[in-house]
Amino acid sequence: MKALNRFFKYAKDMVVDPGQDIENRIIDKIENLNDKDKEILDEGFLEFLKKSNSRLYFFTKKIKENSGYLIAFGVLGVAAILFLLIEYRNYNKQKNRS
Amino acid sequence: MINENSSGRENAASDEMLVAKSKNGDKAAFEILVKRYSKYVYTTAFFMVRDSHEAEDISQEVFVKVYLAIGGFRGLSSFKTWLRKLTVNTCIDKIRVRSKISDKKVSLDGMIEDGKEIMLYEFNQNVEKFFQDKETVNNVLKIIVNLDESYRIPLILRDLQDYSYIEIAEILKKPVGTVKTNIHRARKIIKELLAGK
Repeated sequence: MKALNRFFKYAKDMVVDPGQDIENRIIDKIENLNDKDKEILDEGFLEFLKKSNSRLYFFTKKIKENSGYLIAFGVLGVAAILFLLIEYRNYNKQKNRS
Repeated sequence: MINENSSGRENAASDEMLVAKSKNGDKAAFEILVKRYSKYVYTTAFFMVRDSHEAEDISQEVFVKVYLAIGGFRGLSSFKTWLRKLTVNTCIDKIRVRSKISDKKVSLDGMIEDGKEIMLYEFNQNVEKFFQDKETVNNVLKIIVNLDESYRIPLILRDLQDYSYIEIAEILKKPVGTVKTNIHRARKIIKELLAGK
């Protein structure tokens, strides 16, 4: 698997040459846009644009993707608070006795 | 069009700077972005849809969308990430539309023989030091391009485009478990085929 991951890493840096003058055709297309071409910005694209501009979306996405870490930190946090509460109670009891 | 003298400036200008200029209507800046990323977009589309003509149509569509909507791009992610996601979304839409049509198999070697001059070369100069692995990388890509769609798309999204399993499941509208299984199987097929070469 390690070797395969290395090949994938290199593969990310490779491109298939279209063998044609693709850049200039894209540029020509852009220079000759008509009203019909603007229909390309459909609902799906506008939804994508909205998401890519939303900090809330990126935040919730991070939470979703790291839910394991968050649960682990949450459990540790609760454990730490319980430990401190117990220690505080014990301290108070000892203080009252003395 | 950009003249030869500006090629140095093309390389030096950062994406952020070019995007900012494009937002202000600087067509030359947008042309540099097209030149910088057209092959990257084409490659992503080609591996997903496995058709050189459709990959070119998708590349055009993606850049038209970027051109028309660049004013609304706030830059919360890098331009390259934004472009990559837009390309993947556009490809997925096309694949969904043609889902009823059989998923034909292609060969990179076959395309070269057909005179379409499709070849693999380095997008990033860093690859040079890994020259000895180049042939294997080409073989890996040739295997990927011939995998069934159910294996190919999740594998590309995960291992070549760095999407998370959750994101892939959302995009493909499949359970995360299925996505993980398909990626695992795809990797196994690649390993087996590489070992047999």
